[in-house]
Amino acid sequence: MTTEAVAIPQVARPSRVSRYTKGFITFSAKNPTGAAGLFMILFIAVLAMNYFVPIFQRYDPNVQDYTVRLTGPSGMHWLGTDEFGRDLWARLVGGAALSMTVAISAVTLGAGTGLILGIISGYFGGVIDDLFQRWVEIMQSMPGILLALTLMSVFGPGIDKVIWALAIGSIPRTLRIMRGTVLSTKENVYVEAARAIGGTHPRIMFRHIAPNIMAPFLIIATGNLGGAILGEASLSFLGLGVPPPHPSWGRMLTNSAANYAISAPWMVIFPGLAITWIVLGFNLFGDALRDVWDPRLRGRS
Amino acid sequence: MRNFVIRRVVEVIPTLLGVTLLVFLIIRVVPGDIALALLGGGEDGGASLDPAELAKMRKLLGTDRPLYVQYLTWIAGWPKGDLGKSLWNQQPILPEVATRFPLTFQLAVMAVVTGTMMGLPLGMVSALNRGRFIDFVARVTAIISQATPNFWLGLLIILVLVRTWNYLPPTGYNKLWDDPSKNFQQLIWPALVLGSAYAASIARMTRSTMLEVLNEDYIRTARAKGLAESTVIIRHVMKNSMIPVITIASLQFAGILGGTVIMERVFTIPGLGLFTLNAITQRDYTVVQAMVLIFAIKYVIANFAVDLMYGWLDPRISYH
Repeated sequence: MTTEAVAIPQVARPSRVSRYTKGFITFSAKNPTGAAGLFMILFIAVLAMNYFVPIFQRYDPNVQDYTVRLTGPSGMHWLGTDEFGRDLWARLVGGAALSMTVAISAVTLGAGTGLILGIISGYFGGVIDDLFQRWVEIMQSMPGILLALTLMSVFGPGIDKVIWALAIGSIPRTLRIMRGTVLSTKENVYVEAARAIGGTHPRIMFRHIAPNIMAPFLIIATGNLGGAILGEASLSFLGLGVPPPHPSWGRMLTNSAANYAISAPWMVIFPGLAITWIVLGFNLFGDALRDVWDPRLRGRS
Repeated sequence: MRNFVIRRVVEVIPTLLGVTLLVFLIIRVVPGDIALALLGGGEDGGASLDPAELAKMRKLLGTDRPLYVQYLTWIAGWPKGDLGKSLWNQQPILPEVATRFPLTFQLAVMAVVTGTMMGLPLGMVSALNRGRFIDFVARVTAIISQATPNFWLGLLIILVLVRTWNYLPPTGYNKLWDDPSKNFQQLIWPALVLGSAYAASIARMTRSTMLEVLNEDYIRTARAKGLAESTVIIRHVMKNSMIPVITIASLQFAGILGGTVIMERVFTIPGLGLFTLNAITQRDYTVVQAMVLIFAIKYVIANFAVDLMYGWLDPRISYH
């Protein structure tokens, strides 16, 4: 008796890659601007990677070469050089790495804290809620940049200090919006059910409520990314942000316009273009996320 | 109405006390000894300094007293118009604020005015031409200008002015009444920059609320009874769209106040922003805390004005 291999019909399960590709295509078709934003973010991310693995980069961002001071864009130096003869493209790439690191860390820290405090504030209500709301009001009655500047002056210079200053500034906004979301979410039947079977407060807050407010949270967090980039750039521009020699887009613009408007306009144009580009990317992508997940938030972020 | 005003004033006092206390604590608790920093002995913890001199410095600054005494003394000075003295040069702060205030105030007002003048029409045109090319252009303009850092926009304006006309906006202190032309030339560019980001938010909000209002029954009624389209738009659509727009505008006002700090740096305007910035860089903490108070007061007053505007726009809102 011969055994023959029986061909078992295989139901082709789409691979993870193809599912993601499909999801991405659907997303792009519905939200071309969101897809454009995502592309802009990815472009800067690839640029930032060159800082660590230089592929599209010939020069070290911190090496000064006085023989090529203030030369315009050329085949050698794609975007020209600055007053110390440093390659502007290399500095922009370094700035990309720094901006992305600072923004993502600050938002993770700030929005994460805002989320936790917002859940606590909205869930418990009462005195705790009042205290948090008062605090938010107080924090929001001074301009964000002023708070960040004050914190920077107290903390002293440093990349980690910039991250802290921006994170602290973004807590109140996130807290307030997340609290509002929790107030409506906690009225759901599943929360009552969890309470009925004896779920503890932390369990209800973080196993039942938190997963159900992830969509608005991610929308707010993405929206905060653009703000964090602008915040870092502004702080560095004002001289209280990222200290030298780290290449920062904001600091590259300090004193550049009046001094180099005639002799080296590229020093003014390119760093600002980079900031606008990435902030635009984050904003477009954030808006698209909001339209897909939670159109009710429109206008709030 | 009078009761409403009184209640609002009473309500903002805790906020003002809160914000100043917060800043006071951040400033005093975190960085250690100010006297040490001023004498330049921060690195080795004051080991190389004369203890007597250090004690004298602390006494001069008043930092030898307990924190709550320092805070209460400072607050007690407010009604008398005493905001404290600069740590750096021992000058009283209020006169300095009074000299610089008009410039910053004028800049903020000009920014709000130019921003509203740009944003409202942009949003209206967008909403009334929904889906057409002009709507697309207006929206893209708004989105891009929201993403543009204001200091870079300021620098670009300087760059263009210098390169094309070899013209640099005047710097220094130009009072509105003494030299209106110079004052205007100095402030119009930063006002335009601040106004453009403001205009973008206003345009986006105007567009979305107008689109909502255009679908309301009372608009159909207004059209059905034969009102001219312009009357419908101005009297019915615009007036009913303004509440959310004003809310957004007031939220953005803090951004304008913060923006004046940056713009005064870019265009070298000796207003409150530059004063604050210098104090922060020099770690002149008494000035910083006083300036936070001033900025918070300005913010609170702006919000108050917005509340009054709500009542004017929507008669259903009454003040008790």
